[in-house]
Amino acid sequence: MELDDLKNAWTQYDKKLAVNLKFNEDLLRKMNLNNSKKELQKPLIYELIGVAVLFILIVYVVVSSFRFIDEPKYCVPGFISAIIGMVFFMFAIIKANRFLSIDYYGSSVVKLQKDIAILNRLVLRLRKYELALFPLLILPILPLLFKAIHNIDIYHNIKLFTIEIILILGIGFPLTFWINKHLYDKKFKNTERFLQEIDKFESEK
Amino acid sequence: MIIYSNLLIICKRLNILDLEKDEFISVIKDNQRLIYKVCYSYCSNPENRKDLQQEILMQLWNSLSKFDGRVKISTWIYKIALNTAIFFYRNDCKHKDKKVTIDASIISLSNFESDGSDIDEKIVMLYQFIEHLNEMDKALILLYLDDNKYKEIADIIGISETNVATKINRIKKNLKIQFSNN
Repeated sequence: MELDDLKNAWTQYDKKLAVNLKFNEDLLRKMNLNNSKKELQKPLIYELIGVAVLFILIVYVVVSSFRFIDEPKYCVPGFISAIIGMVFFMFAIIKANRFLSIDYYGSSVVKLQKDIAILNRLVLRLRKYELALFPLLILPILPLLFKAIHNIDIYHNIKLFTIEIILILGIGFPLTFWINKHLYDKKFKNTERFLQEIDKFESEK
Repeated sequence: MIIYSNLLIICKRLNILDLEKDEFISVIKDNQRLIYKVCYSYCSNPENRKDLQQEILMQLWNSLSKFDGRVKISTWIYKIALNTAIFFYRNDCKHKDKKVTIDASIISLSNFESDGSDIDEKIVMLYQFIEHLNEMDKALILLYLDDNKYKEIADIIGISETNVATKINRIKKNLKIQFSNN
């Protein structure tokens, strides 16, 4: 059987569909179409919130570090965490920018699928770094925050300091590596494979 | 006075939204066959198909204001429906957990009388064949079957016309082999 024979059957099927398809306007209205735009922009909103939160955190940490500039045990880790925070901030800006640059409604199928796959690859790649950097951000930021907010010297509170170290080094790092290996690596490979498929589809002659 | 003018603005906005909704509903009514075929080709599971249908309608609603009339409305709907379906198809697992908020399909077949004819059999076979194609080839074959010109297919998919011709020939050959084996 040839595809062109089936094409005739398809045309007749199309005519049959035109007669038999029932369209439920009430259900469509119930979908609350006026609020749906927010749903679509969720990932972008998350990134923009991330940018704002990180900006506030960095400013607070830098200001607090300068407050304790005479005490290196607070200001040095403070500045270190501010630098790591800047890295997170840059990542969030890169992601938000890429989200905004995608033309969801004008691109061709190949272009849009490719753009989304590339964005997905970028997000996954950055998320791996973010996960790895997260314990490194928390470790130096805590002494400064305890001092700045509660006026507690964590270095003299051995119990609290030990808990912090154990939580971050003992649980944080292994958990990070486990999540990266089992969750993101798999997703990343899947995205890569799809991207290769699109490239192949595009270039096949 | 301020309250009254605000009220007027709100009423005006509501009217615009109603107008948009009516326009949208009429566009969907005219092109429901297309949406139905895309959903049927990409989702064999009826529950997932309902979700996909909603997703496509949401995307179309969101983008209605961006439609500038440079292409035919059906071409534009095809582009959005296919992109949504491919994205949905790839994230199928995620959607399995998603609750279906509306308990019936918006576009459903009513009294489709299958007379057991040769045409119905062919359509079933064709859908079975489409089901085994990859997501990009599915899009290609749907556009071809719906009598789109190679130029239109190339524009929607985003590849060259030559490429479209080559791929369609390849699909034709595969179909011939598959049906001769059955």
